[in-house]
Amino acid sequence: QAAQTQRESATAEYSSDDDDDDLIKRRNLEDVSVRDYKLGEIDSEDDEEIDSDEAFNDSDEERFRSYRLGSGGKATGSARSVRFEGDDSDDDEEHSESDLEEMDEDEGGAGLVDLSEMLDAGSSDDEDPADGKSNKGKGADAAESGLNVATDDSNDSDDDAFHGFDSDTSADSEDSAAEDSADSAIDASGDDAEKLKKLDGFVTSISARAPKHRFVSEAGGGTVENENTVGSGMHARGVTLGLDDLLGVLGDDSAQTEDGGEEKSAREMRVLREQVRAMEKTAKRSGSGVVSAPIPKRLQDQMDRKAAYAQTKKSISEWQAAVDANRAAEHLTFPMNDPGVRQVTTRAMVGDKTTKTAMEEQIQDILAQSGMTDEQQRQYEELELKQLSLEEVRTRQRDLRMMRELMFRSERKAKRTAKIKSKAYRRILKKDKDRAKEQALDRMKEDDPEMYEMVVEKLAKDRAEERITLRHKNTGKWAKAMAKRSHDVDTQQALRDQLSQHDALKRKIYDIGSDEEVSDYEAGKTTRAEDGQSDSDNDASFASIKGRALDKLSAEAATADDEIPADAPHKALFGMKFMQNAMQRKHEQASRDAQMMRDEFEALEADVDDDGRVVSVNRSSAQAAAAANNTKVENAGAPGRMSFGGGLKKRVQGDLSAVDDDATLQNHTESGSANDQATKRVRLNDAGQVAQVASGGGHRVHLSGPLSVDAVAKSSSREASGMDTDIDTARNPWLDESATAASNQRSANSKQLSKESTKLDKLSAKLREKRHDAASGKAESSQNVLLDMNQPLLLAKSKTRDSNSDDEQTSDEEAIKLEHIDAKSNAEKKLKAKTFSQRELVEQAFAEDDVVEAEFAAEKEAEMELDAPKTEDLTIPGWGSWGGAGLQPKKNKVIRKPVPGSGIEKSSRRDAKMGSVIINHRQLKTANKYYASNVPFPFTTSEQYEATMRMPLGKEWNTTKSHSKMIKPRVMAKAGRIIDPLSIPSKKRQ
Amino acid sequence: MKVKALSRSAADYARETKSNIQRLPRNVDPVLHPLERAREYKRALNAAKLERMFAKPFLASLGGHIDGIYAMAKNAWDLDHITTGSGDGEVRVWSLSRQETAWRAPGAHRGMVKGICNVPGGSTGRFLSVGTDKLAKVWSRSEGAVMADGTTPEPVATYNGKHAFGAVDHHRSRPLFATSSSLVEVWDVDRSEPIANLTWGADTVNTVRMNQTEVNVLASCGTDRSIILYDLRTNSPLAKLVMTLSTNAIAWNPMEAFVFATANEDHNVYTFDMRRMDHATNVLRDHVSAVMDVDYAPTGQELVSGSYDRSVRLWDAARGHSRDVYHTKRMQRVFCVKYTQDNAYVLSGSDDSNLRLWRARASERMGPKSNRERATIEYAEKLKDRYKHVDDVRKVLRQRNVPKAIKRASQTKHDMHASRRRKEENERKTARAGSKPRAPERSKAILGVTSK
Repeated sequence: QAAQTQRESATAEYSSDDDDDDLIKRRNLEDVSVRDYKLGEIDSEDDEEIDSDEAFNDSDEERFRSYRLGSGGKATGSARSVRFEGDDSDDDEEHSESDLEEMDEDEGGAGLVDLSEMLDAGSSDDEDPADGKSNKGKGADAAESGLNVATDDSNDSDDDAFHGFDSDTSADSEDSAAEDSADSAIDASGDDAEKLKKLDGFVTSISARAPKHRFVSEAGGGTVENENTVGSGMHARGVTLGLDDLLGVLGDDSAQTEDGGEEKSAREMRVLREQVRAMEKTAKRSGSGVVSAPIPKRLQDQMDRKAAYAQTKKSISEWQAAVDANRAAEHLTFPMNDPGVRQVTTRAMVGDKTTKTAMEEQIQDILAQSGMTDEQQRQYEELELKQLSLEEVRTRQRDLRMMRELMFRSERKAKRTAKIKSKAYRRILKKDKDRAKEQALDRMKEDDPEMYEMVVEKLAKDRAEERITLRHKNTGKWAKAMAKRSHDVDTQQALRDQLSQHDALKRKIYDIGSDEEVSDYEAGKTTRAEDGQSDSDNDASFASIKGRALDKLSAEAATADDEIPADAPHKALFGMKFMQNAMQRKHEQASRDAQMMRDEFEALEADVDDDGRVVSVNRSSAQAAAAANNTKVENAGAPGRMSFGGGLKKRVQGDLSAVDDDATLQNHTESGSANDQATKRVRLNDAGQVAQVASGGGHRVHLSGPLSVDAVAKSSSREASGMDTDIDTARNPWLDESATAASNQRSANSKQLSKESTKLDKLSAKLREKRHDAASGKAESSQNVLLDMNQPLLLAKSKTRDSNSDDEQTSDEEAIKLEHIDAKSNAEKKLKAKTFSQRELVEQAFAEDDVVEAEFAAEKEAEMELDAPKTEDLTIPGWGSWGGAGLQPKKNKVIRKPVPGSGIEKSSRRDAKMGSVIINHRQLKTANKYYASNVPFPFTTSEQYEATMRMPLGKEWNTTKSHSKMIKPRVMAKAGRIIDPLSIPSKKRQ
Repeated sequence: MKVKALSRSAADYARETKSNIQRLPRNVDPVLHPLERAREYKRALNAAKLERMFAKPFLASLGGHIDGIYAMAKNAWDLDHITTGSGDGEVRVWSLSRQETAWRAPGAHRGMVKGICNVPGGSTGRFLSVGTDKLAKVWSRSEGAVMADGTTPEPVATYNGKHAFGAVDHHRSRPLFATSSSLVEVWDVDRSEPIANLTWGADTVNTVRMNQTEVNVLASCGTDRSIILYDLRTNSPLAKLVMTLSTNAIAWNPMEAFVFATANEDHNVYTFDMRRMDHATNVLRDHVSAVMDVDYAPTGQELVSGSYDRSVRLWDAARGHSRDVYHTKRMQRVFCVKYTQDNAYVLSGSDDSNLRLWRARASERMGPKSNRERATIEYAEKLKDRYKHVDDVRKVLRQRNVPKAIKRASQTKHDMHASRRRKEENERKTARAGSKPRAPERSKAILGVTSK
């Protein structure tokens, strides 16, 4: 009953475990702080999950106390300390109790139960409900430990008995007695009699208590009393027989023997005592306390295996990456870690200076004999250095350093300047260069006039020759042919020269080509001309050049004449009739051209004369006028230049307005016979220009390609119809651009003029604008491009008219405008006609469109019909029925119904609702054999499978490279080679 | 007009030697090469047929033993030599290139020779043999008298065991070997007593195999249907796998350290990942009787197994069915098979006392090949592989003539399986939904795996 109450109180406690005071009171515990701590440690929820380590740690202190000899008083709770989980009947109570008891154990210092707890924690949960096994384990442990003699061997049989022990309150009172006795026994003073008495009392108390317990009567009743039963009895009363007790007894014995005079044993005992104390101390320090009983081997092995398995799994998983890589690899070549053929690098070969072959050795010997080996060379150089004085070496080094530094700097500077992209900078640079050249020339003029003249003459000569011989182009047919056929050195050399000249010229032209450049250049020239160079000089040189050119022309003509008959007999191809004809034609053409050129030169002479006058007039009268005019005039003086590069622009710029500007300017300045003069000048200018352009064009007929100048030239020479040229120019997109550019140019010019703000200029600009507006106003409806496109044509026309008949030289703006409009309207009309016809064509093409639809529908219907399931009439007339008069027609005809799925119903066709589509539903049965009957294993859809089959493998359908890549097998093993197991560097062989 | 006649010098088109093959200009214009699917299909079919036509896997039968061959060891460092032990205690070393016995020790053991393994280092030519006479002996091919008539070579060393040995295997690098008897013992070569006894409940351990990659791991299988893994570092068993029927042999995958294959009594070969043994990674099922031995190809991609049904089968390790089956009229129960270290041959030792040498790929021919030949073969292989699912090609490729017994047995087995499956399905239909879940084939034969 008492046990019952105790248990109840325990449960009550735990149900209200927050009430500490109450708890302490009832439990009659001494160490409140420790209890508090414990309470905090173990919650009622967690009590099942107490893990062994924790249990050990918590109880350590208490257990050591039990070790201590003087601390027997702490063993008050030890009567309650033994506790076995055997009561399966009431789980909840059991658990709460177990907690309580654990605390008790801690205080009482019964390490045994700790161990059992630990075992429980160590083993899995399902073993927790204590059975015979765990109890046995405890018993065994206790026996093994031999320190705490609180045994419970006999407890196996009956668990209920322990509850009796557990809750025996009466034991408490007796505990104190036993405790006392234990204390006194330990504090052996030497009072033997008293001790003996106490021991007697102790033993009798054990024997007296023992029969009271059901446990003893049941389990220990029949057994002889031995150390086990004694222990159990003591345990039952809550007395723990510890090491102290044993030692204490020994100590007594020693004391007794001491009396007998045996000091040796006493000394030994002292030593033993000290040892024990030392042990205690170390145990306390290390915190391990009582040596825990080893776990049963079976469990130990189990745990070992688990741990080892986990460890091995971990270590073997280091192969996973390598294995995965191999599994995913597209190709595997075995043996895997094959070093293969070593690639010998050049460096390695060079670095290897050991001689290998006999020849190498021989060479080495020779080198050594002649002192040319690397080593010898080095030594020689060192010696050389040694011969120099220190000062010399130093200066040499300094110089070298200086040189290197300077070189480095200049290099850097050059790099930097080369990177500069600024045009202005380049221009300045160029100007500097030119100036330097000029200065050099000037200097030469002062120093060595003869030389100077020679140089100048040479320069002029070179230039003129270049221009006249046209040795700067090789795009002509003839030049090309020559380039193709020429094998002799001379021709090649000539061609090369020609090319280089062309390059040089080109460079020159493009440099001058930009407007600023031109203006600068020209301004420079004019100034120079003004400075001192007489015009007569120019004229003279010009005349001489022209004369030379004419000579050359005639010479060319002569050679051309000679050429054909000379070549004819030699070559088989040229011997043929058609070739000869062609040659003849070519020859004639050439002679005609030459004649034309000659004529032009003659004309040029006259023009130049005129021009010369004009130039002078211009210079004197319109010095302040725009430089552009001067340029134009100047250009007129230098034939051909204008037509290159920016020539086109200039030509466009110098179209009507520019020309007319000149005229008007002239009108203004020379107010006298203004009209006549103007017209004349216009004519002259025009004529000059036309001549220029024509001459330029004359050259270009052979040499240059797409310049529209040709068209102009043509129109001027052949008087082609306006329409033709219109088409020509319209077809040429380049012209459009240039035209717009020209218009831009014009506006820019006008702005420039306004800046300069001379009255004259402003006036002229106004006039020009007015005219321009008038011209463009008419052409508002159409594009500007069209207008500009037509202009050169009109100019050409007017020019031709001018050149043809002086009567029509009105130079009237209105007339020109009219021309403009006429041309434009013509062009528009033509365009309109074109579009109309286009539309008509389309209409014609799709004239009977609806017929197609009907046809398609019929076709689709036929297709559907063909695919549809068919019924078959199998009736044979007269078959199976009587013949003769009065024959009744057979009622049930034999009609074979279509087999389900044999055809496709019209409604179930995929294209049933598609108006303009026919989908073929028929299968090509012959192709079936190329396809798998069902989707094979690794694939989930037929599309996937088909995708792998799509691309053919053969070399007929692949490049060699991709073919060989495709057919490369996954696993390749070299024949006759041992394939070692996989090894990875991270896994060293253990 | 002069007309020049076309003339060609013979040097332009005639070749000087046979090997001087002219480069043929090729035009890959698809118009010139129509019907690629049909043409490749035809090529694949032809390749398949040719493969079957040239499939002559049997190379040699090496006779000499008086009793059946029950133990065999390939030398991992020497391609030429193979060691066999027979039921009458004789040990022979064969030269495969000469196809004859290179060395023999009649009466090496009293009773059966149960296990043989080579000692690392090919040059020494040493090997270990264990027998039912409780002895483990180290032999040296170089030291013993080679084929000396009447004289029996003496072993280099002898170790006394307590029980009749079942198998032996040597550590890959260290001088350690493991034997199996009623327990697994680990021996140091220099000690007469085993340095470790590894035991975990089995009565008799049939086989022990050391992992050649993760070298300290070994596996054994016992008569209690268990497969046990051990680790030498911890000197303890790791885990135990119990199957429905006992395992006869184990082979570690040389390229995948944690994978091993087991030859089971239930006619199947199972492969396992040693880290997750609750299911097999693959089940290879084609044999119709107990599988007696299994070995991995050195590439780790293929397997060879020998069975009590008198056949040898070759497997792709990743597939469920054998890719080829080898048998001869005279070959009896196969007790040991090995894949040679160059991945080219297969060896089988059987009850009929003959060692047989097979090609690993039946229609493959050895010897040097020209580039064109190799390219053609590779192309044919690829085509076969590509079209293997197409009916005609599949039919040709899968066609094998097997002995009547095997044919009948496989038919019976198939029927049994089908009926069992049918029965299960029927039960499943009548049972409560979800009460009879389908057991995956890979874990059907596994009773459990534990570390306890």
